[in-house]
Amino acid sequence: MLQNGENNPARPSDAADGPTGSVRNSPPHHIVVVEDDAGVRTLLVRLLRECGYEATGAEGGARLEETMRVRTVDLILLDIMLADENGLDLCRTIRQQSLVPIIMISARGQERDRVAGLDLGADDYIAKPFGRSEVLARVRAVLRRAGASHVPPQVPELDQFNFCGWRYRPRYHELLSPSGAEVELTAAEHDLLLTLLRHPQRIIGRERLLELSRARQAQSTDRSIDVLISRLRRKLGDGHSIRPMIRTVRGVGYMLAVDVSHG
Amino acid sequence: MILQRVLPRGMVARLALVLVAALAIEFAGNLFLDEWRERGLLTDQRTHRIAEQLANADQVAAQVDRQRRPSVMADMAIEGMTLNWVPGTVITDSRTAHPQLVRMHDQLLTLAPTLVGRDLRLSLIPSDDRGERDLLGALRIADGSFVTFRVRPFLGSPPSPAMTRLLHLLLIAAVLGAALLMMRALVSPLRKLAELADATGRGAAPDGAVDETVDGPWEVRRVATAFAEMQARLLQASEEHTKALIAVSHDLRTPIQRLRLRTALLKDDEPREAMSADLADMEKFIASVVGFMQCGAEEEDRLIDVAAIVMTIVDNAADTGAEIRYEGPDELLIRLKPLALKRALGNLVDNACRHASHVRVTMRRGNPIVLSVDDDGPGIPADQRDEAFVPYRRLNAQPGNGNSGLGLAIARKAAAQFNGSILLEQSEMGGLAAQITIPVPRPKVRA
Repeated sequence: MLQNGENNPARPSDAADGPTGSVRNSPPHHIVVVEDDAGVRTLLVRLLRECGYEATGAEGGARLEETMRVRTVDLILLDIMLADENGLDLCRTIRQQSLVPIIMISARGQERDRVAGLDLGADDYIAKPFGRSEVLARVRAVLRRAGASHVPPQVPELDQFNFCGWRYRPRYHELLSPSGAEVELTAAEHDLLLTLLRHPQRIIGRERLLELSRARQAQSTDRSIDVLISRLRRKLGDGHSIRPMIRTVRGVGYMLAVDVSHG
Repeated sequence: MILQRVLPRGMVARLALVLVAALAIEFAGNLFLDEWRERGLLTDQRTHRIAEQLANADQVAAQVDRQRRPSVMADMAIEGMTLNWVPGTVITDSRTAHPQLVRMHDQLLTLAPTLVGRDLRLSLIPSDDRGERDLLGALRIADGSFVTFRVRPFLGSPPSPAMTRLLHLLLIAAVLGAALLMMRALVSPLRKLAELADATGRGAAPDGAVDETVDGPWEVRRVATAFAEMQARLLQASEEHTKALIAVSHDLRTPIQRLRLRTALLKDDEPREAMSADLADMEKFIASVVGFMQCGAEEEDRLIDVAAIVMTIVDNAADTGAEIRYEGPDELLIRLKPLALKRALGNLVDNACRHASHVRVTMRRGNPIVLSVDDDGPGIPADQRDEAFVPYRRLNAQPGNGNSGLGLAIARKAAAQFNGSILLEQSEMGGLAAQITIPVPRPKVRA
């Protein structure tokens, strides 16, 4: 949509803005912000630090490499439009050396840049100008993905999920119906679908889903999870079917009751 | 083109050519009609025999007594020709009135050279029946008497005057039609030029190729060249304008980004929220300006679920607090440009949510697919609805609020990309009903 600027004014900081519980006891994540504008760089670093992350600013590729030599980097926020170099080239260079998660920062509406960045191995993207909650949600989501799986964090996100003829490519936010049509989802629906697809045949509690959807939505209530599920079902043509793909487990949560394959 | 080289180069000369050609055709047609009215019935063979017989009669009459001449002459009659002898005659020569008689006279003299220089009078007389006419002739012989002869029939019956007039009218119509066709061909370069002018600025401009595609008289080519140059200047100016606006908008993003982050770091809630709202307005404004400028960007048709796009836009609006609902199919697959549809519908929904408290989006299957955004807001009076599409025109709202005055202009421009259209009407909900029609490219609508 054209006007999907952040409509919610920044909220007072709450628990959801900081690193989530599981990582709170371990040493804080180290994030490098690659951004040529000094103001934005400094402010982002400050904001991330306030939320409990370790953050370093880098104005370009040289400085980034230097930082990566000195210490481990858990996440890179990379601006695609740098003053002297191409962010896409830099993204490719990083990927050749390391599988560290990358979140691209692109100007809003530059679809081509975004897809090119994802093709080069970036994990997620965020459109400029973004707000505090948007960037923190992305950072949290990418870090959780890298840390929560029981495989080493350097294994990249699965590229494609297949279920009941549907295909979902999470990095591109692309859902294809069995007949090959692109089906548009809202950001919150993407997050929800991805969570369900990662844990097929398992009941996922409302609280967990709520926590995930809060990452993007302004006012998450318990009810809005049900609303989200019903919207998703409608788009998946799952609304009136006798054996729905997304099954409701009363009092507990939801379950994706289909087989999911990858690749 | 060969025709191009043969034709005169100027417009006036070409017009004159058409005029002369039309007059020439009319003249030739008239001559032909006259000829056809007085068509001769004699074959060359019969003419030959008539000439022979006349020459014979001339000789025989001179050798025979005056008393016997009438009977001898009567005996010399052949098929279709009777002969007689008279001492004097009332037959006069009427060749001046009938071209056929002149021709007959010439033919007789050619076929019977002995008659050259003699007093040979030819005249017409109505036949006994059928409106045909006979040839009546008198040849003066040496003693001043005449051998007379009658050839029947000589000329066919003339057509009725009504028929003649009708044929003349038909001739005039045909000549006029031909002349009009020629004129049409003559001004066709102008029409082509007008079409190219129409296409300018609608994304279909064949950049600067005008002077090559338009040929014709040099006056028209001159206009085409001037037009091509003007078009190039206009397109260039417009492109520079667009580039400047987009550059400004892009450059504004970095300071806005800084402000966004700075605001987030404020400790005081009240100014932070107010500033965030202002920043969101600025972003919306910039996004719509850039969106308007880049609306013509190329996009491919893809197989998409239109219903999912509509639901996404409606749900996103609902999540920001709007009272909005969607009524329509859960799935509707067609090949379409998704971004254009999102722009068109997104702006209409945005408009409705800004002005009304309840919004309803409905979609109807068919060809075209009709998407309607109804609201219960103040609406737009019927006489101002056209004006509402003018870029940067805000009908009742004050500037600010992220209202760039571009929403409807963008929506219309975006809809044009999938050959759709946008119609504003009075809604049954009390406010405005904005309808997007989406023509289905191929009959491939499936449930």
